[in-house]
Amino acid sequence: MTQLTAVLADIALLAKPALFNLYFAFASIPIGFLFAIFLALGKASRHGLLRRLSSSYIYMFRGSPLFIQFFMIYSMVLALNLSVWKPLGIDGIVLNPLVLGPVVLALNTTAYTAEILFGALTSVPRGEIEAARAFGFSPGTRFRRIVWPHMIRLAWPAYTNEVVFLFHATTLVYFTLPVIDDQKDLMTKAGELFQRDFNVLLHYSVAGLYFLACSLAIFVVSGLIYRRLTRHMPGAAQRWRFTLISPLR
Amino acid sequence: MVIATPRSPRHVDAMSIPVVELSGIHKSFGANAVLRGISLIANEGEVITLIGSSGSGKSTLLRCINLLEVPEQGQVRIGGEDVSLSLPGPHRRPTNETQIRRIRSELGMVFQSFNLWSHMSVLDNVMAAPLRVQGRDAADVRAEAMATLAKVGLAEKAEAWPAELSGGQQQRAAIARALCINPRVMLFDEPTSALDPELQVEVTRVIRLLADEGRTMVLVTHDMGLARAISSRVLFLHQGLIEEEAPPETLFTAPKSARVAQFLKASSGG
Ligand SMILES: Nc1ncnc2c1ncn2[C@@H]1O[C@H](COP(=O)(O)OP(=O)(O)OP(=O)(O)O)[C@@H](O)[C@H]1O
Ligand SMILES: [Mg+2]
Repeated sequence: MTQLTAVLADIALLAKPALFNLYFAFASIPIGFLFAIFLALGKASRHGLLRRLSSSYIYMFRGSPLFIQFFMIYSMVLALNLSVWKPLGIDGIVLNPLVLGPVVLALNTTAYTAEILFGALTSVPRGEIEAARAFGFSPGTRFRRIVWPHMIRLAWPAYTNEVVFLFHATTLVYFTLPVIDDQKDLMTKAGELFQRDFNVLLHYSVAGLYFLACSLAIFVVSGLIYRRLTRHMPGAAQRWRFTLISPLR
Repeated sequence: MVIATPRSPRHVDAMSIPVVELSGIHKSFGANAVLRGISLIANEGEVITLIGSSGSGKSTLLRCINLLEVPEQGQVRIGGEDVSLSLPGPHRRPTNETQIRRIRSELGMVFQSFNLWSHMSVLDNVMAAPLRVQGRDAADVRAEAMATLAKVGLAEKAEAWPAELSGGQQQRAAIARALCINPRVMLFDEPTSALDPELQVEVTRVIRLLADEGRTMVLVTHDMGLARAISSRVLFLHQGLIEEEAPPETLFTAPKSARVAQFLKASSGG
């Protein structure tokens, strides 16, 4: 019984920290998704310079650990503090983990998502694009009405993984950035509780439960969306569901 | 196999109004010179059929009509209007994208592999170009789309997904999609080649119906029976040139070119 009360106590204690992880994810994922669309189109562009720039960006952020990206960007931002941020009076905003954290996460997920979307873009049925050209669709209409629905459907399973991965990666924010006041996330709070009684199993399990619960929610919502995206393909969503709860990165 | 039934000759119109005019068309892919100076005219109400062995450039020529391929030399005129292209050469491009889109929206193309938009219902496929390209009124378009689907025998499949249709039904839906833009010309690229013989019949029947209505069409096909039955003129492509051009009754019975004779023998034997 004391076990159960200890677990319940931890669940209560970790509820607010969980909100910080959710905040980091929700603040970065939509921005990253939006930028990734443009980056993917850039990588697929016929314009040589645009293609190279997009590919380089994707390579840089996919090719290095997120952990190091946090350190690099934080130290660069810090280096500019006295010369730029302070004189502008925005040092409190720029250096705030609640701002800088989502920025770094967004930069990172932009690259991964762009690569996923780019892969999807190259798999859009050529014949359907050609038909749209033959019927006189403008490039914009072609993208919106024909390319995008295929692209997002093809990208969706991989993108779901990226979202879950990014959600888990929110734990890296406070590995690099300073905790201000009581703005702790799940990992820092679990670490603090661990320092009191050295009960690893309890505190990190409960923190892990929060991640499991949120991931499950993501899977369920994503599955519903996927079902909608594949409604014209009998059986596709059902097939995917079996691979859904497979080990992630 | 459809048995050719002789129909009234279509090439004796009192007034010839050219709808498609290609002149001196050259097109190569890298070192591969596919078209080496081809001219073609399709007059109002004519059915022009392109035949020739695989790789002879039939699809490429057809795709030059709606500028899916840009000929590096030569001129394309649609409905008497010159398509404006940059200076001849390998990098030749249309200079007026708006013109290209407008002209394309007047040419209904039917592909060998159907190319229906798979995430749209059959009805949405048929309505898409009239709505999004021609900007017509939604209620009118819907009524016309339903009528067109009825015409190709697919009225009850309007709400189906393309994946739920047989190949023959998909191709008929694709024909309805092309018809619903009220095209000046229908362009067919081997519309029955991807179909089983039984399914070819239902598509062929629709194409014949359109020919009987007097629609202007340019057709690429390996179906000699169909070519014979509906063509005003048949063009045989060989090595990037038109080897022979003649009304079907002449070309199929007494070809001047030995190559055409050989081709016809091979395709009737095969
Ligand atoms: N986009 C392309 N890039 C490179 N080569 C091409 C391209 N399109 C066609 N070709 C080449 O041009 C030649 C003619 O092709 P085309 O498709 O016009 O022939 P076809 O007469 O339609 O043949 P089929 O009866 O097999 O459809 C072929 O050698 C083909 O390999
Ligand atoms: Mg072809």
